Amino acid sequence: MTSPGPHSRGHSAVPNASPSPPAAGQTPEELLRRTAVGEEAAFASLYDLFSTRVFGLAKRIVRDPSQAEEVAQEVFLEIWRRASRFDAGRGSALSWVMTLTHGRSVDRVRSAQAAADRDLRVAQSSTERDVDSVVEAVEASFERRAVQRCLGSLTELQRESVTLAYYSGYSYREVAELLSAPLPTIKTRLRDGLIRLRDCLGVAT
Amino acid sequence: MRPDPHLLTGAAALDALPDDESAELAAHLAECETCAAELAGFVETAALLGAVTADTPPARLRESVLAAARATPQLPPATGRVADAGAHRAPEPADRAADGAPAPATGADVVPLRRPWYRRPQALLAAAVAAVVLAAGTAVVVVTSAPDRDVATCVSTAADARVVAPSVGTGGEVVASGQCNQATVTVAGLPPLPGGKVYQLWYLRGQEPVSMGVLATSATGSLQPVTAPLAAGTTAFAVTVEPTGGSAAPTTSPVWVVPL
Repeated sequence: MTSPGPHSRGHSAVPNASPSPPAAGQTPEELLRRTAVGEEAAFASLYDLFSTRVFGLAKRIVRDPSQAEEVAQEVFLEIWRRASRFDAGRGSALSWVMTLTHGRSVDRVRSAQAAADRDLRVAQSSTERDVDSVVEAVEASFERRAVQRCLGSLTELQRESVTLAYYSGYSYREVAELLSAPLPTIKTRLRDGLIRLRDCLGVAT
Repeated sequence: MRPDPHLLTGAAALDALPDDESAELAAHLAECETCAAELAGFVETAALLGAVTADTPPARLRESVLAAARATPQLPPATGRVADAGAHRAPEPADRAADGAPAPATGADVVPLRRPWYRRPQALLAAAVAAVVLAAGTAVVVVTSAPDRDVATCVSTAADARVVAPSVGTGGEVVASGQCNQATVTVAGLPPLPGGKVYQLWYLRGQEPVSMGVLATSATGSLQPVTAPLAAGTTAFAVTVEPTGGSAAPTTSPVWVVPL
């Protein structure tokens, strides 16, 4: 991955919002609020803020850059359309955007593969690649490093489960099948893994 | 035989829960504040995982997105109980297009059912009906009438008017305009019904069908168009066959659907 990091932007006049505290009106939540009233500049700033993450996650899940580009376009249009529905009281702008992105990406994969069952062997071999690249591809971003470090703090089985579910877009039943583990085990692992990640990343609850 | 639904929060935050268990968890969250808080924290955590995969998109995407946005109307804010339930929960394909996926009456942050009502197999309709009954207090029945000329004119001449053909059924269309905040629904191509049956029109708010009344038949036997306010969060219009007088909630699968 060659991304310069989630906050890089090459286009906007909006100053970089991270890691220094964002200027007033430039938090993602504020940008969403301004987008909701039709401010194109705010929407452009949101794009600059989130495009690497949206595109990157879409690409990881759909595994095809041109399809990922389409998914990213869909996601940003949804952000534009639905900005007025964002409720900061219920979660961060980032989680709103990433949830949209994940869902859209999984839809894309599922509709493309609805006819044919997934080839589990291919998936199996990609499991290792996922885990390895996630854990090893340490890049400059502080946040990225924190996530890498925290993923590394999981047990191998937790990490595999979380990685397959999130980065590959599998349902937990599919994860159970891939890892030949009982369903309750996977359920528990996903939850325990998230508890550990949450605490490691310092997510307020 | 299900184990504690509380354990499903992890899979839910990762968008890895199948339909039936999403519903199960939703029901559980309504009664378990701790679980709802845990899920919210997990969803924030999952969002951070996205940082790892960040990758620069092609430069052309930016202009393409901004140009598309300029040509795309925005949804009005959700009002009242129609909150964006899809937002921080893994939203549903239809909700995503949709908005205002209605929160079941029990609470806001629940996991929506995975598939919209109008695509759901017959067997699951009972659940949809139950959900509607919960929300019946807020259902609005629009009295069916011939289109009001002024609003119909607004819709037909609005710059942002969209004409959408049915995805189920073969005739008719919906002309929707955000500027007029109105839609004209013209249902056609459906066979005449035997006595005791009528066509009833619904709009879907998220996945929740809301009655727009029974469709009137003109002297020539065609169904009369309906012009009605475009409610926030409308995702589709649908027609079902119901007993004379109509039903409070759909009792059959739609024979005609226009997704917005």
